[in-house]
Amino acid sequence: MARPPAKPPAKARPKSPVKSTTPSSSKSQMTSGTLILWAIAFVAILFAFTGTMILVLVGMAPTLVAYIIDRTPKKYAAFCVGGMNFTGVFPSILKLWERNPDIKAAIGIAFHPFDLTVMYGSAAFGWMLYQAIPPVVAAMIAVSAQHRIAQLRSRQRELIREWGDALALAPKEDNLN
Amino acid sequence: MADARSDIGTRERPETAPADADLAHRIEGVLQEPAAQQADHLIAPEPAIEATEHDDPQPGSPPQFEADAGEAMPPEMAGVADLPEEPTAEPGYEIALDVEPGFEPEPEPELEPLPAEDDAPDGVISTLAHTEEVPTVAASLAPPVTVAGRYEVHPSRPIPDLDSPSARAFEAVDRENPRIEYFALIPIPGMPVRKREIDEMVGHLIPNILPLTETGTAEWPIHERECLFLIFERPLGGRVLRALRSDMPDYKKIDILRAVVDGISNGLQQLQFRGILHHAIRPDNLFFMDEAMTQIVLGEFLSSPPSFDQPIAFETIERSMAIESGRGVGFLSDDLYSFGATLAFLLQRNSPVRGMTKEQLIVAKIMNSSYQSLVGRHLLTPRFLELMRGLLHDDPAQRWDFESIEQWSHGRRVAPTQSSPQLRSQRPFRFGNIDHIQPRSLAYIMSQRRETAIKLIRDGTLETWILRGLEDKDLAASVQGRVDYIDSQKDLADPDDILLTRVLLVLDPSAPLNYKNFTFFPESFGTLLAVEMMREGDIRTLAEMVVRDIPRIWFEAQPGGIGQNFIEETAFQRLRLYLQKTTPGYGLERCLYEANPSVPCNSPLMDTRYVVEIEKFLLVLNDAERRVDSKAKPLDRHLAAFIAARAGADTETFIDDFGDHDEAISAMAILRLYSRLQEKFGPEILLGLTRWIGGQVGPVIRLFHSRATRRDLEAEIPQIVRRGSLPELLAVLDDAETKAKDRNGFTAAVAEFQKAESEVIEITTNSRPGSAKVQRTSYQVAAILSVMLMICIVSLIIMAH
Repeated sequence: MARPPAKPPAKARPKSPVKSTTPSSSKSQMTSGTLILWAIAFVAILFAFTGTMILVLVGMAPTLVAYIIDRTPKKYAAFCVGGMNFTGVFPSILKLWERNPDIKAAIGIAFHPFDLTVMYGSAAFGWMLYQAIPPVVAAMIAVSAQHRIAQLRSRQRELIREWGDALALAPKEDNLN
Repeated sequence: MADARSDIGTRERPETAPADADLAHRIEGVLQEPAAQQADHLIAPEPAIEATEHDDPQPGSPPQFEADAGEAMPPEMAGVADLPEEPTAEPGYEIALDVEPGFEPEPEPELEPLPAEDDAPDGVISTLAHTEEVPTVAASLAPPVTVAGRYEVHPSRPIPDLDSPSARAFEAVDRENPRIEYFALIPIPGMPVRKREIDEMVGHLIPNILPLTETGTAEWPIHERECLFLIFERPLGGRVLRALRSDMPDYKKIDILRAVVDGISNGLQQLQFRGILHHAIRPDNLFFMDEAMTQIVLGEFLSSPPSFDQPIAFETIERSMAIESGRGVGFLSDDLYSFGATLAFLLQRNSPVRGMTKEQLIVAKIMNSSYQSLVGRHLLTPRFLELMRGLLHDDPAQRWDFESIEQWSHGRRVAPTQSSPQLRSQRPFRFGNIDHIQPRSLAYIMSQRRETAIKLIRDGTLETWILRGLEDKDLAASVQGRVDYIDSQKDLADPDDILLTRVLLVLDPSAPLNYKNFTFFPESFGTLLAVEMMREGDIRTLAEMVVRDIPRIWFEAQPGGIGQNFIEETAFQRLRLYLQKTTPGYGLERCLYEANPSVPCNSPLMDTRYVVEIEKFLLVLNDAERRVDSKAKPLDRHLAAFIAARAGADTETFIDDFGDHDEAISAMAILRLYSRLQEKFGPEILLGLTRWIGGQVGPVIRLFHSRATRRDLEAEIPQIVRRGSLPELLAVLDDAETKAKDRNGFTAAVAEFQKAESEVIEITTNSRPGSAKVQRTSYQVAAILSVMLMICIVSLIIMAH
């Protein structure tokens, strides 16, 4: 008995253009989900640590401003200001946690002139670092570069002494026969 | 310096020449022995015969041949046919003097002194006494010169009796066997001698041929340069001609003539066995080898090109039309003709061609046959008539050969041969004051009067005569065909000259090639070029002929066409290739050396040395180093051409590179070339040349990039120079390993240099204070510092709590 002819292979289903965009969609969905999760967490923390959050929000306001005005992708200004700003806010948080960390105490500390000066002063110091450090670093980089250039030029002079001026004029693909 | 070439070069080549006047004066000289005047012989020019206006047919007038139809022979031709009888009692022989037509010769020419040069008609063999070649007192007193380490040649002892027209004779003594007498012939410096024949003959005793014992070169004080010496055994009996012109009884003279016939016949046969043709058979070139005057030998023929020294009376019609250096090697039948002509002159008391010019003699031979022209009425004996008739046959195919001579000598009758009928016109055609009835004589006279001849062709007169006189439609069509062909070539340069060349060969295919002022057989182009270069003649026309492929016209006109003359035609094609390139190693110099194996190198670097073989060449160049400027290149156009011609085609690559504008390539080419030559031909040590070339390899050393390698080479080269080895010098400068190491090192150095350069550019670009990288790094540092401070302070606060 003859064997029945083999079934033609099932037609491959054309890839859905929708499916092809799935990764980006899922990523956006995931991003949205992450944001939602972060929002939920923030709200939860806000409800759980309301006083601390008020203090942080008020105290870290310069960092938020620095983050907004910093157009660089890496947000170095925000890091600079934020690092020093947090250093100024952290003693106030400890002070709040030593007392009753409610909203009233938090507002009291947050708007206490001395504490506020410490928090914002430290932020200002961070900004000062952001302004003062780069020229120093650039100068250091320039010095290092000059040293390296001197080394390279010296080697080039050695090569010319050994192989002649034609070395400097030779094409990259040297065809010597 | 006494230079024969300077003398030759100052004279113009004639268009026509007296018939055998040169021979006559040579014979006079031999008989009269003016020792001081006969020290040397040089070929002098011959007077031109002008084509006067009355030769030119008037345009528009009826063809001349119609008007002249039925006219008698021209007076000068009539004179040839009906010579006034000379007194038969006059002793000796009279051979044509070179005088103007109509001149009445003096009755006793042999007693007259040799004419001074100013008075001598052109065409004579001038004597040294009237040229710049007078040996200086110092040269005359110079010590003997040693040739081949054995033969002492004495400059102070010339032997004018044994001079050849192109070579002077001096006494030579064999150190090892002084009892045998020798003499040396010194050819004119630069003259293309017959090298192949010299190589074949030297050291061999050939019956009835003057024995060539040795050859060699040596510094010759008379010419103040190195010269070729041909050492011959001395003929003790002197010239045969002297004996025949003496007062000896006629029966003895006839015996001598009989011996002459046997001697020449046997000598030619002996030469034929060796593939050699003589081409210098004439009355004054026969000698008695022994004092008893029994053994007859043919004199030398090696000191000049074939037939170069031959008076035209002793040459066939075709060969006498050609200029001296353009007669070519020819055939045995040409020698047999000279044999017959020589015999005719020796046999006669009076010369039938006396007073005739070259043109008259050639026309007479054409119109009346050579036999009738050369053999007159006053014969010493009639017994040689049949032999002379056979040998002087103008058709080479009908001319007697050795078998016929043998039959005749044994008294058997030689069967007469049937000559092919010659094309003759019933109506004579008057041109050049001659009534022509044969196209051949007309062609010859036309070749001597080119301008009027061209008019003759252009206005149709010639074609009309061929149609009506010769009644040969094919010949007329051929002439018209040539005219039409030339007219169809719009851009052709010198169309009239080429037209005339073609038409002359249509009228007389056996004639030599006639183009502008040259008449020669293409096979003789080499010797023609050599002689013209020696005498600073019209070399431009010779080059033009080769470039324009003019010899092809002659080859096409010959029976069998190009196919029959394939080898010669191919040789010309090769010469044309050489001429088309103007770089060193090519051009006319290359043609000269390719076509003349016997011509010495003419480079100024060779100075006075005689260099024919490449083996000697390097030694001479080695010696030249001491006297030339060290900055001068050891190679020039002549040297390059000489090497390319003598050392083989594998040197051409180096010679091509020598012409390069890059000094390094040029210097390397010289080194490679001479290194190859030293390897191939020796010697092992060439101190001078190695020093010379070693001093010019600076550009080659500078090809190496590495300064260390250069210093090493500069230190090594002086050591190699002291060893005198060019191959060693080449090995050092052309070492593949050193070159590869240098090349690879340079490539790596270039890469390293460029990498450093790129880094410098990158650093320079990215280390500016305003650069993005510096800014980014600076802000990164600030941010990191801020965060670090935060961590530290926060940690301290926590720890404090």
